[in-house]
Amino acid sequence: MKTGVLSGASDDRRPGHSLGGREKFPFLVPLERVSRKYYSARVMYAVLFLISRRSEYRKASRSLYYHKFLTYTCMQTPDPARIHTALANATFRAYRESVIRLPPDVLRVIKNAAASETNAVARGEFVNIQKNIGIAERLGVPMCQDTGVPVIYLTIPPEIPFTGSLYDAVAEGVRRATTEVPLRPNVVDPLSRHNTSDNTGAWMPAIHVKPGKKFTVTVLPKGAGAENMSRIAMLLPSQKDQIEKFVVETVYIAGSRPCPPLIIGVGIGGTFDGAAALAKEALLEPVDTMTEFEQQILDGVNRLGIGVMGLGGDHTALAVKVKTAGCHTASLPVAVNIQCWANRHFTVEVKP
Amino acid sequence: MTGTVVQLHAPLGDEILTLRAGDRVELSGLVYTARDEAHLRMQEEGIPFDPEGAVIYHCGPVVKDDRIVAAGPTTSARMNALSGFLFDRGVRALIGKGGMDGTVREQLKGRGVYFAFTGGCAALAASHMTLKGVHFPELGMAEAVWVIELDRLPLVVGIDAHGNDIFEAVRESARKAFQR
Repeated sequence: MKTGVLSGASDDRRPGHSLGGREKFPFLVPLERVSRKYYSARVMYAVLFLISRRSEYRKASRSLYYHKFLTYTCMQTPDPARIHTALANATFRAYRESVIRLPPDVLRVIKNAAASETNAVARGEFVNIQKNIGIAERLGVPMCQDTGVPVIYLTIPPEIPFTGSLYDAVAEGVRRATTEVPLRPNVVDPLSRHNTSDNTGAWMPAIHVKPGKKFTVTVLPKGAGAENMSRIAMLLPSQKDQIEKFVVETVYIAGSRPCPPLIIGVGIGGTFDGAAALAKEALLEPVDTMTEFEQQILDGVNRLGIGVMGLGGDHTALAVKVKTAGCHTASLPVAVNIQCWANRHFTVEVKP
Repeated sequence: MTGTVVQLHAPLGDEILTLRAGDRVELSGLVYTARDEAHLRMQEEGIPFDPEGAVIYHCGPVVKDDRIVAAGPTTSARMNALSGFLFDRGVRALIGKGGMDGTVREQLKGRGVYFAFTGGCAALAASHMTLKGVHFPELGMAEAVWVIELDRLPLVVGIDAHGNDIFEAVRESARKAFQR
């Protein structure tokens, strides 16, 4: 998931919001900005400090209580408005970067494949792909006109409250990216096909949240050509040997349509929905290293010879990444999320 | 399939009949973008440009301030059943990604070719393009017919005028490999 972590929006510090005075006098931090947890700790250490004052023998403890009291007094929940602005800005930046430049591990596998390709037509296609990557980066324009739908991964540290405002902030960043990058407006109502024209809609952006040490937002724009070729199977526990065949079959059915050479995310285990989520998350893993199992599936896929853009050659796929989760003893869910050569994703650290 | 690159200039003529599947080509001159909606519209209302020797590009570009920002190819197979009338009016070549079916392969025989352009390479394509005009703008950015002047866009012949089709050959060998 490391694709060049940038420091979050430093340009969002609003004038008139200086904390100078409050940093000098932490007691002045307004109560509503102190989380309940820290507030009770603050009270507890204040009481301990006051009690310990009466005994001359407990100087060390008294000093400790005093410092704990100060620490918990200074620890405050960031202002919700600042969290919102910083997350919206970080989402915008992550989206823009993700459609313009590829992660370094993806660039490496493309370069290695281009160097080892033996098919003349495929070599020409690799030249176009590498030129395209260079031009997009130089001009700061999207590398592909299908700028995808927004798939978002958030990691939230303990001091950031998990509220609906985070979802609003991400959507705001997506809307801004749509007009300013610009992105193609791709999100429609599934039945009326009405285009919302800002790349948001019901449950879109698709947001996945996990606890983490740092506050980060990752944008994985997913184009339709590859996504449409993804499949899921509820295999039987006895069909472990069929996993490779199912992946190869998925790529065979897809043929030239998902813009090979592919990056293939495979989710094994969990539940029906969980396996699909795992398969997509697998695309965030470094693609320039593979386990023996992943390499074995990749070799099976490449024996198909579909090659770059379905024109034939050695590289139908560049990498297979597998993620697993515990599952029911009676089931073996396997999901295959197909991604084109442009395995776009970018992570930005949010700094409220 | 030699290392030489054939230079072509649209509108095209009989010179394309000598091309072979797998040949590399650099195409200059005017091309017209068209996706599903534009094909249906042209079938009903007629072709809004001179189709003689014309080249159709399966593409829904991103256009901003009269400039092509990104213009990679879309999946040509969606236009499999919509392309015959174009060749009857004199269209000589299609550009797209992923190839087309046996119907189009037959329609191209003795008349035209299908060029493949690398999927996803929208920035590269845009760097070889100048926007010249638009037909059917009411269809929206992706579906309108954009008139674009190409400057040596690098293509590969996917289907030639003699029934040779790289995509079909690869599909066939993939089928054999899968069944093994």
